[in-house]
Amino acid sequence: MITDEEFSALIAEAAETIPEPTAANAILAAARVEIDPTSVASPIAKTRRRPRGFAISALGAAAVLAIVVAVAVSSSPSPPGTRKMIAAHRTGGELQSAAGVTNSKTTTSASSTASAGSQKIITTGTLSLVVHESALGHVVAELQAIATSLGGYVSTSNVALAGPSRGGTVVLGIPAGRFQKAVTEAESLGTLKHLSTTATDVTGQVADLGAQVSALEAARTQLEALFARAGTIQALLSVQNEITSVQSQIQQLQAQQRVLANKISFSSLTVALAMPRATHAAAPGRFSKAWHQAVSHVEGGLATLLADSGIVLFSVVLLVLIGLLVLFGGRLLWSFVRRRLV
Amino acid sequence: MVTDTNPGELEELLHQWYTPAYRTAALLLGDAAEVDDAVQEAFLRLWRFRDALPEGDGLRPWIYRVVVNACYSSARSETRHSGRRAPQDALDAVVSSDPTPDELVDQRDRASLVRQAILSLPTGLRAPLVLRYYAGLSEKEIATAIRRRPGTVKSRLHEARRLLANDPRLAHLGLGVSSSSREGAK
Repeated sequence: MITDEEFSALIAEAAETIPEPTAANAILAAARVEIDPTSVASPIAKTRRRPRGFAISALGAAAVLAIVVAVAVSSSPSPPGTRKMIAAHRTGGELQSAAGVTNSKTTTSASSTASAGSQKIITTGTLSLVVHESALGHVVAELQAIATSLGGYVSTSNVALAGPSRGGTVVLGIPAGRFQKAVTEAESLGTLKHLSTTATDVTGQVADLGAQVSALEAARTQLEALFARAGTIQALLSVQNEITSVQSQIQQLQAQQRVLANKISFSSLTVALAMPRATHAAAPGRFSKAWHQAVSHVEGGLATLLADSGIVLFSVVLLVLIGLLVLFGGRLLWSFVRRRLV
Repeated sequence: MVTDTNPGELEELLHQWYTPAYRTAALLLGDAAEVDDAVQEAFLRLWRFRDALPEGDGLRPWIYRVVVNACYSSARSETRHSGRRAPQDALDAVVSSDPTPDELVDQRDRASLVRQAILSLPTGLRAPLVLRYYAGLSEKEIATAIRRRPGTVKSRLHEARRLLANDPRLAHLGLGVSSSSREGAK
């Protein structure tokens, strides 16, 4: 007589000898690799009748959708059609010209205004300032204060406040509409050596990204409809795999949209800080310093002597020079004449 | 329309339930192609109606109900079948026995005979037997799965065991109905 437990063990033993089904893994693997169900030999459903046609049509439709999306993506213009709309560049002595500064501000202002309209503009600027070494720390703090007061932030700051290579770079993120004000305020912190601003029109890129996202979302909707009507597990998984892929693409594009929107909203202003040239010259050595002092003293002594002796010393020196000239000239003449006579 | 697609959900469903469902279907149907077809159909139904599936303990009888129905449809039979994983302790007992080669041969022979004997049972008796002794469902859960009264389940279980005990292929196993089973059948 066998108990219930023993009987269960007997049945379980019989079940365990049934080969491990591979269909589930095969279906999943096929769904991950293949999109077109007609190219995948179904590990199951040898005798299935009804869903096969649907599987083919559903995944065919999914493939068509994928092609449509791929075409839509590939037909978009190549990324960032960087059209440099405005570029003002001033160097050296030109900066001393008030007219040059005015022109630069006008162009920068125009770019900021454009970004507020339908156009999508990314504005960046580079500003080189010469500041006194004692004011370096103060200037860095002021730059931070400017960014904060205008609703921006300090993106990066790499400034050496001491040592032989004092100076560095501060990058500010400034709301696009206040970029010009930030430039003006930053300029006032030191001597302007270089200013350049660039405005890149990314309107097309933004529109392309939006179109790609819309196309992919439409594709996802269609795939979800197919997903609901899938007739086989294989078709179901294939469509689901395609949905996952489309969703991933949508998320990537949306991330790009966010990055772009941030660049449009916040202009980047890079401020390079440098010391005056004199402060950068190497300190003279002790010997060199002593030599220069000696030369200076000799020069000073001679100048004093000359000033004190007045015309008398000058006349004496002049007569001595004339005497020497006559002496040497006479000797040369005598030697020439004697050679002729002999 | 599907509005909420979780990529891992279907994989999880397949990994957790495919093997026990497949073996249950194999015990009920025998024919490999028929088993594949029935299990695929069952999982497609489960996936389509996943939002309506009960959670927790109620899920298991539901899954077997779908599998049994798929087996019935596949076999075009008037009765129902379903299946599931054997109780873990029973499987462990088999695995941990460290059988010798001779014992392995005996086990395979015995398993084959048992499967043949189960498949020779009337269709209406196979499902309760497999669900009870392989899937480990209670009589109440089996009643839910095959949509019969618990009393019917008991009597069918008793009848199935009686037929197996009288099967000449299993005579050497001593499969007489135990006292507890007799009492349950009454």
